[in-house]
Amino acid sequence: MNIPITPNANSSNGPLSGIRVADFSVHAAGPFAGLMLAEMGAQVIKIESSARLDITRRTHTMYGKPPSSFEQINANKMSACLNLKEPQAIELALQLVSVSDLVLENFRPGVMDRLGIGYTSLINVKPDIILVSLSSNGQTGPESNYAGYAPMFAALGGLGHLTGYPDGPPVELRHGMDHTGGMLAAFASLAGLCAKVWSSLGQHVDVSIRDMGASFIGPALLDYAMNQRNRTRIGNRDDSSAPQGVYRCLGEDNWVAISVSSDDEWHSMVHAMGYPDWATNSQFGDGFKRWKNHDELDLLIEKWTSGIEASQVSDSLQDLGVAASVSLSPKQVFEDNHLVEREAFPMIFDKEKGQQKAVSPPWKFSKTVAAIDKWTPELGENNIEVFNGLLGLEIPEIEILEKHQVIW
Amino acid sequence: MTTQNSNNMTALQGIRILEISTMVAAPFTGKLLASLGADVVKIEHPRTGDPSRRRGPFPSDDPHKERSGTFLYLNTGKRSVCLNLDEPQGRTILNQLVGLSDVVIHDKQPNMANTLGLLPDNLFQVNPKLIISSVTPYGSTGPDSNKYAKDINIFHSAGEGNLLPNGLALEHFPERAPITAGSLMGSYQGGLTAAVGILGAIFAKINGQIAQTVDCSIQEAQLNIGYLPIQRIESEGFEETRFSRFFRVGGVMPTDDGYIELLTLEPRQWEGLGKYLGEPDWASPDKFSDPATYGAGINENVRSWTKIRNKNDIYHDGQALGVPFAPYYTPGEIFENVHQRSRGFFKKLRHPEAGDYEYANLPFNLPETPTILKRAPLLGEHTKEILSNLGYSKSEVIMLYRSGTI
Repeated sequence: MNIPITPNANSSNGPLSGIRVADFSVHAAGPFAGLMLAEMGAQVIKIESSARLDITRRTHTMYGKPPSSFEQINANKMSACLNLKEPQAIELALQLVSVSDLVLENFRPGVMDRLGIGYTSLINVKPDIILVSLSSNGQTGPESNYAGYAPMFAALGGLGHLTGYPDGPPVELRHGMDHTGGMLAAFASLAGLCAKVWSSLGQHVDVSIRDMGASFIGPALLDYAMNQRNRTRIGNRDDSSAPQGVYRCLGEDNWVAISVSSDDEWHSMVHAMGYPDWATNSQFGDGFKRWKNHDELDLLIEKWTSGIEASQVSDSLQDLGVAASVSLSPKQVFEDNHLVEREAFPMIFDKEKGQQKAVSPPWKFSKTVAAIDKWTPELGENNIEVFNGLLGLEIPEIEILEKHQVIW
Repeated sequence: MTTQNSNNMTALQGIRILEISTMVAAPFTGKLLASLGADVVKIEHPRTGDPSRRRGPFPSDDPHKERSGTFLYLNTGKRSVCLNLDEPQGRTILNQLVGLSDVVIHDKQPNMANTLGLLPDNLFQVNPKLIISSVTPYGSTGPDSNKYAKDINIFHSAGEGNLLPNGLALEHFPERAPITAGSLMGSYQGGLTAAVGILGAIFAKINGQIAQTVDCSIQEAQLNIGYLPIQRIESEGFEETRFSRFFRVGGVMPTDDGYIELLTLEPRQWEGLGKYLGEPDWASPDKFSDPATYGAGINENVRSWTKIRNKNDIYHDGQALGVPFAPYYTPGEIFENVHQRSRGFFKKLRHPEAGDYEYANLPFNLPETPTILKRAPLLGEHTKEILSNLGYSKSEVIMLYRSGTI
């Protein structure tokens, strides 16, 4: 008798309900793609092994702490163990692929082939499989085999160079780069699934996070193509708004972000500041002058903001139609009224810790619900469901494979 | 081998999308969907067009509404229709287009959406089979949903802004304001995230779920991507700040010709680094494995080592030894980059007004249903063609033109 697979709470009515994903990815970028698909209701089976634990299950070399804070990255997924160094495990991996719609991986290019689960092996068992390979530098090109982590994609792709103070070094962009890469891989996965509907074709989809970084600076690349101009970082400023900046407010480390693009908005801001003499000065009279005298303007604005609470600055400007907002710390984000009202932090039950808050999916569908409703599974938590329920192995057979460190 | 796709099929062939949006976030959504073969019709204001037409960069720094790099890049593959939505006749034509569309994407906050007749109730009356997606700073509900916001405001409302800069830039300028990611990155993240949601809804529609709304908050897109500090508060009680967030070993290193990033997370990587550095005492594996004690010293030594070297030399030599180094590239260095060029990342597009330039291509490749990169439209380039398809006669088109509706 086979043990039936328990679906996610939302899997019956998510946009991807009925889709099965074999997720071989590790670390952050690939698993985030799997998370996005799982939040949309796909059944995502994370293939992992004690032979080489995912970094999020180990003590992190940088953070030196338990993996609890990484819980969200593999939420909504199932965990099945396969030691991919064992030929029998590769056979089981291929069996799993043969009943899946999509395979996700973010090894370095060539590793899947070497393991015996490269694209050509996958299409032998499932001709219309969609394989989504996410990597730092893409599957082809002289640097395809280079190692990369989040800040390195941003460095190679130009976002790093364009972020920072004009007179300082570039700024490293962190996990956000991994996860944005994962979001792109989710996009490519969905594109593959839609394509299969019309074409009946599977394919090997190549997603490069470095290319993604470059695709986020398209206009700067065109500036080089058009004018051979190398743009550089401009702090908090913007090409079409002046003044724009993040200004110090009353207290220890409190800041407000303000952006003014039109004369109307500037007049509103002058009104909010109580018509100080300097503000009605002709050197700030129009957008061009404000842009030219931006340094001086920033000092004068900060003189005003630094004596007032950030939220008060923001509210007084918002009331008059000026784009202003408090620079929220993570804790302030967590407690933000608007986000709480939009249910951005749903409560999920955890066996060990009880109720714990997560960050909700980034879309609100009116019909096909996206949800995060189950924390990251224990290593191998779903072995029986997957190997018995899905692939039909008998329980004693599974026990032997566990003993031989195949299902491990 | 797989069968060849002889019909030039695309992932979203036959999907008709109406885009009512400006600047970066939602136009990026439309661009991504157009690259998959959807027919994306962009509504622009007859006089001004998308404000990104005024933003540049312009060839030879000569401003012109058809030559703005921001518009040209973010609107590849779309058709442009001029329509004044402030006028009743403009909204009538809009509704006719809505009737023919599968998806409507707009970036209007709720009050403005109401004024323009873009709320779901109105649109579903016109076309009950629609997917309606709003891509707005704070989403379509909640107390902040109508707040004035630009890229910088959203970025600092979502948590990541307050955590930048970190590492070397913060060491140099600890007193300065937190910073915003360059190149309007947060808006691109919002646009990409919305595109994922819309594809989800399109896939569900293919499978029988006909109509629905997809509410995309750019703030929540960024929050989702940057969820980790929230998780650290929840499960560890630890509050990340830009002062606590730095790599004990690695980070931004100055070079003779710029900067390079170093990050070693695995023992084999720092062993490789030690070898590359000539195995000095300060870079022994036992020191790397105790970054709390030795990290600052290692970084100081590595920085003086990289400072007199060239970033590309360090990159290639280091990577050959398995050490994750990556240079901070300028736009020009990316544009000339051999690796990306060998992957066909730059594609020349001809444009009758802007001239011919190489554009950044799509960052993914679907070999069986290839992505499409076609030039951006002229302002209202497709107005006549689309009105004619709607049944308007030539003389009616002239009247609509005279009245400023189109």
